[in-house]
Parts: sequence; structure tokens; C-alpha cells
Amino acid sequence: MHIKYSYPLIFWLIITDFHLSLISIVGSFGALMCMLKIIKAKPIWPRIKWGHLKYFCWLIKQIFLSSISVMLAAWSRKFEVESVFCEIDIKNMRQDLTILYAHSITLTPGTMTVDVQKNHLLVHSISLSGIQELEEGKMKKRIANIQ
Amino acid sequence: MTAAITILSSCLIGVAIKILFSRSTLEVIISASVLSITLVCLYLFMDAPDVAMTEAALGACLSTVVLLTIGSRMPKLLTKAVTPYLSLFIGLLSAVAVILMCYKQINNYSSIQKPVHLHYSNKYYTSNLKEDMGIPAFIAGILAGYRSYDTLGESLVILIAGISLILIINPNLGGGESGVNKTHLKNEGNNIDRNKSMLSIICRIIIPYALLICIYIQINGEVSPGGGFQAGSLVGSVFIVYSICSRTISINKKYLVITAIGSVLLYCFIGVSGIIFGGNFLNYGVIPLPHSQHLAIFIIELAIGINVASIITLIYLTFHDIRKR
Repeated sequence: MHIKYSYPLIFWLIITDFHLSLISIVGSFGALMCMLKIIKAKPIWPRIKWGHLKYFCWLIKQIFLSSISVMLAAWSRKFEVESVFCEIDIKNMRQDLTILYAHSITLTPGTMTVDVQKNHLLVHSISLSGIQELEEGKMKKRIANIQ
Repeated sequence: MTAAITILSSCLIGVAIKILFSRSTLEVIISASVLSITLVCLYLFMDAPDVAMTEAALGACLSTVVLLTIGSRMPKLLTKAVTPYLSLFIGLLSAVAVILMCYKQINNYSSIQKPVHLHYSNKYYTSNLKEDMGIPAFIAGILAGYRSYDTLGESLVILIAGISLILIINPNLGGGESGVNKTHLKNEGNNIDRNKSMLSIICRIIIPYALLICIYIQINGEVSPGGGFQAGSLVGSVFIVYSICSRTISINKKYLVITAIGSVLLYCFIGVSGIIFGGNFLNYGVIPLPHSQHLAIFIIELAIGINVASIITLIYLTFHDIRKR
């Protein structure tokens, strides 16, 4: 059994303050399985690796930097919105990494993923420089390094 | 703490003004959802996490989704709201005048010397709850113990609301098989709609943990804030989120009605078992079992949770079916 199936158990122990009682653990997991069966959800238990955490720290830094730059642009008097749409290539990328990429683009202020297609992401940006940064591909390289 | 409450309250006023001056129905619905999220934060800061949970599930999730469903079916003439500035101004001015006139009387509304806080029943509840009910949580003790008649009435009201809704929207309910029809949304692709993959994959990761929180709130209702109403509304909103993001959900509405009625019957059965063992209706102390009060309150909270969850899902599915037709 892989460690990824123990995430719900760890989560349950954290929210119950490590009160180990067999009845509550077994009962709650039985109820969880019933509810997942009722709505026919196929849950995903993602494998979290060291690379994910490193990427996450880098992403938080990027979010801070880009929110500061967007804020400065919005408060400056000569601010003009150059609304740009752009297609970003995601060929040969695994699906979970694609989703991670798309959400990272949305989380950094200024750029937003509008649509996920088979070979490209449709990205909207409020300035040309945001798109240029994306096309340089720093973020994409870091995501590719995770696996 | 006070600063946070002040900031959030001023945000509330700002959003309310935004709602008054917004130009389309979509804007109004989204701003109302933002208002409700702000209220959730405000309740959290005011030490009312159970109210915050209910507000998040009902105000931010269910009512927004239902209003969006109705709004998408409205004729285009109606969706363009025109703001009548003059009458709005007069109305606001008169409201401010009334509030200023009442100001002196509502001055000490929350003072501890008001008759509401000095009534003997409050003192009785706070000093005798642990002996009478055997549980530490006040809200659960009052809700399912001292005032269980009221709670029975509330769960009946929820049941009647759901059933009357389905009777109004599906008028041929009594007319044979087609009445309570099966909601089967179309299954696009194999399991993931590529356009929605951003939403659906994140939902499939988060849903088990959200359901675990619901179960935690449900089974710890007697010892911490929470209980049947909160857990039920959270389960209902998880179902709604899942059915929005993946189009493969299929729940038969008949089963939802059956579970809602069954849970109210379970509540009544607990009440009647008090009569069987020689007490009054809903007097669980006379049942000859160890910790009978605690057990009965647990089952009653469970019944309320199942009732609320099935009715909320039923309301969503009923409105979803109209959109499909």
C-alpha cells in the first residue's frame, strides 16, 4: 500500500487533535467511503514529493513579486490596460502537471488561464510583460523539474 | 480583533452600496455572494464558527447557485437592472433618518442588564446543562435537549419546504412514474471534460477532505460547535460543487425524498421511545440505557444532518432539471 492512501488518516488525526479512538476512525472512514460511493466521485490521492514543496515556495515568492508589480502599475497615473490573449504551448506535459501549471498562472496576479486545450493553454494578461515572462518559460521549466 | 471587525463591517457596507448601484443581475448575484463570504469572516471573528459554517454553505454556495440557475433562465429585458437613483436616494435618506431617531433607544441593546439576559431560564441552562443532558456543549444541549420540540418543528419545516418545491416545479408528481424522475446528467467524454479539467481535478483532490470535515462536525456536535444543521448543509454544498465540476453525478431524487422523510421519522421515533418507557414525548432520560441522553442527542443530530443534506441536494437538483428542459 502506498503512502498516498494515508493522507486522509493524517488529516483526520490532525483535525481531531490525535484522539485515537478506533470507533471514530473506522466509522468516519466508512461514512467517507459511503458518501464517495453515493456521488460516484473518483478521488485523486496526489503523491506529494520534495519537488512540489520547493516549487510551492518559489510560487509564493512569485505571487508576492507580481502582486507588488501589479499594485504599483494600478496606482501609477499612466496605467493603461493592454489586454492580451496568448496561447502557451503544453505539448508532452503530464495532465497533473498541466493543471498545476494552469493554476499557477491564475494564482500569479496579472495573468489568468481562461481555457485548457489539448496542446495549449489560453492565457489572458493585463500587460505585455506578463506574457513575455510566461513565454520565457521559467515556470514551465520548474514544473518540468518536479517529476 | 476589534480592528478586524471594523474593517469587515465597513467592507459589508461597501458591498451593500455596490449591490444597490450594480447594472446587471449577474453583478448583483456575485456581489451578494461576496457579501455572504464577508459575513462568514465576521462571524468567525465574533466567535460563532457554527453560524459561519451555515452561512458559507447556504448563503455563499446554495443560494448563489440557485439564483444563477434562475437568472440564466430570465428574459434578457429583466436581467438589465436599471437603478432608480432618485427613489433610491429618498429611501436611503428616510432609512438614515429612522435609524437616527431610534438611536437613543437601541443604544444599550447588547448590555448585560437587559431583560433578555436576566431571564431565569438562561441561568438555569448555564448551571444545570451538564447534569441534565450529560454533554458539555450548550448549543447542542439546548437545541436537541431542552428545546427539542422546536428542533422537530424546524426539521419538519425543512422537509415540507423541499417537498413543496418539488411538487410546484414537477407538477405531475402524483401522475405515475414520470413524477420523481431520475436526474442523470449527460456523461461527456470518459470521465473528465477537458475544458473543465482545472476545476474538476482540484475538486476530486479536495472532496474527500471536505467530507471528512463534515463527518467530524457531525459526530462532534455534542462537544464542540457544530452539529446536524451545519454538517448537513456542508455535505449538501459538497454534493453541489461536485455536480457542477463533473457532469457524471446521478442521484435519484426519489431516494433523497425517502431519506429526508426517514430521518424525520427517526427523530419522532426517538421521541416516542420516551413515552414507551414511561416519560413524556422527547424525554430521553427515562430510556434504560447507559448515557441515554447523550446517545439520543447524537441520533437526533444525525437525523437532522441527513434531513438537511438531502433537502439541500434535492433543491439544487430540482432547479438544475428546469434548466435542462
